[in-house]
Amino acid sequence: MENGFGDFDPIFVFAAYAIVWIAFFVYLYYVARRQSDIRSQIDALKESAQSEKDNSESGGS
Amino acid sequence: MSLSDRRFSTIDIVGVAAFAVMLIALYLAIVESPSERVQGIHQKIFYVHVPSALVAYVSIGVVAVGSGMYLWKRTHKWDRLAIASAELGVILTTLTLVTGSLWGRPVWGAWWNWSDARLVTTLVMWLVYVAYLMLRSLGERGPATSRAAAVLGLLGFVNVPITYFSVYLWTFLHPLPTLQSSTDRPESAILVPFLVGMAAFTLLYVYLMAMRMRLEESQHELDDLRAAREML
Repeated sequence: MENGFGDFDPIFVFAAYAIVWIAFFVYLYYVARRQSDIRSQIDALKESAQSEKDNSESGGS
Repeated sequence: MSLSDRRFSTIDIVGVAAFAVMLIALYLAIVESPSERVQGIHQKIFYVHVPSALVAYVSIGVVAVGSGMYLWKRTHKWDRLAIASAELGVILTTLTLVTGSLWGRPVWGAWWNWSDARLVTTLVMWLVYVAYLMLRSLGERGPATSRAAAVLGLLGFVNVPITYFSVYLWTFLHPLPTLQSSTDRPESAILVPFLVGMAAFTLLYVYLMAMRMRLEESQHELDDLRAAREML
């Protein structure tokens, strides 16, 4: 069979395995990054809510 | 130790196990498995192509379960399960299509063939779940989008048995599922790397699902906090 690369060229096998590994690592990085962003937004919201609460308590006393 | 700390450590253990089994699967597939007589080294793509496809079917099955349960119970945990699994289903189906194409080019002499039922039904499956993810990302977060997505997630599953049985119904290029080979080595030389590959993809799916579910929980927490602030 003529495929332009030689019948048993390993490039296709290498590409298949590389794509699978890269896809999983990229997806894992993307999920971890989004998780970290959301966690920092949650922490910031909680912190600002706490400081507002502290301010209103000190203003009222 | 809090419950969430314990859960994180369980996720970590599953993650380490998944990548360890992935490495073993890679070694067995590339080094230990025999080259097939006709297809040569290209047949080794089988050890990533078939597990990707089978775990993609499982993930789409989980989308259907999550969608059906959400429509029945209307609880967010089922909706989150469906979103997380749909994303992984799309990734795994993409990998199935790409690795299949990389296998088809040297063996069939073509990257793609529109006459092959397995290829076309797999592409339709991929398009349905890409549409599902687009609906989720473009629609407002809320019960209306969740309901519409759940209906799509449930109806989209109809295509899975059609895709699986397409090779029996309309034979063309794609081979029938078999582990028999024309090599001189026994079937176990193919079966063991295949089963380890299946274990690796299954563990990786479980790990990534746990990570993705955790992300959905955090997003839900953030939405609740924002809603609470707006009410003040």
